Amino acid sequence: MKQKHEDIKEKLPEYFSGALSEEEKTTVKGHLDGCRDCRDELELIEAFGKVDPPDPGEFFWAGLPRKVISLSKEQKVRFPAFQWFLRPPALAAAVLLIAVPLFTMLYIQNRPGNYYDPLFSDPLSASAVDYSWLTEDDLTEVSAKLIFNGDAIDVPVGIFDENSYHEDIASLSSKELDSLFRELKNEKIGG
Amino acid sequence: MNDIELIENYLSGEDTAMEELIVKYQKGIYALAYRITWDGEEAKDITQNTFLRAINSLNKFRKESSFKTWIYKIAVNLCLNYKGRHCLGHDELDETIAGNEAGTLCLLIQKERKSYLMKALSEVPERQRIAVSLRAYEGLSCREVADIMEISEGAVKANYHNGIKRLKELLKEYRDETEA
Ligand SMILES: [Zn+2]
Repeated sequence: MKQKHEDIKEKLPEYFSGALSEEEKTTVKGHLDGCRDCRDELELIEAFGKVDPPDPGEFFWAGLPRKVISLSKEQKVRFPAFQWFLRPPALAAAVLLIAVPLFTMLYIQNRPGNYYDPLFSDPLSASAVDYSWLTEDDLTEVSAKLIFNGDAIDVPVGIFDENSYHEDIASLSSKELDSLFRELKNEKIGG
Repeated sequence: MNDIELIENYLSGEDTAMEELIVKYQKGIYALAYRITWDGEEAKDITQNTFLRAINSLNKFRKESSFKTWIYKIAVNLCLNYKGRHCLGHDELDETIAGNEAGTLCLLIQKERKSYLMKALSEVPERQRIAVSLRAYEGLSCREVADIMEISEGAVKANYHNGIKRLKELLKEYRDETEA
């Protein structure tokens, strides 16, 4: 009897809301006649069931469905890009798109040896060598050696005579200077 | 047409299908929101936002649970986030009594009893109130309420019974007061 009472009590909300089958309803009804406790509880549920919330009125009920649908559409129009952006794969792609070039640039700029240095292909690593100790005599000697090692340049030996080469080079036309520069470059002597 | 069919029709461009769904559940959601917040304006907002949130996240709706359970879950979460539960609508209860224009004594007694019942329900702790409202007034099973409240069925039963017990105590206090 006690077990049945607990079971019935459990079913009272469904009994009140009409969710029970005909058979279950009959069982509950039969129990209610002989059980004061269950009757009191059902009465309580019924009493509160009669307390209706204030009705917002027909205008509210009739307008709500359309209002909600149009609000939803408005939000979709207002934030389409934003909603797209919130999807995890799109977000991941956007992050990669920004992060990959950024980190590549930072890596290139900070790796050993500046590859953007126009002198980087200079075999003498010109940018890193200190030439301040060289005298003009040294320069004449080094230049002559470099040029004649190449064996391919037809330069009058005279231009490197004594200290007069400054003047001689200064007297070369721009065309001649260009061609000298090109020849030097072809010999991979460097700039 | 069942709820799932209505959703599919809406997703294929039929707005009237969604209107039908909203009409079907709007009064239930409003009553539930009111029983939890005791604030008519808040309950209206919660009702609107429940459907708005549901439409905007229809892609998250898993068809193995019912649409009803799913939207009730959204509504309960919105109610729990409700910030204005300062005095649980006692102002509104006073308004109900003060605004009573009916002249007959019978109606006055009825109103008073009603407002007392509302006051009693508002004094029951929130989770117990939700369990009682969903079980008794929305006709949902323990399993469904457990799903909505995200607690075990045992916890639903405990909340429901404690809520009913508290209501009984409050009603007894009321009777004692009126008889004294
Ligand atoms: Zn019983």
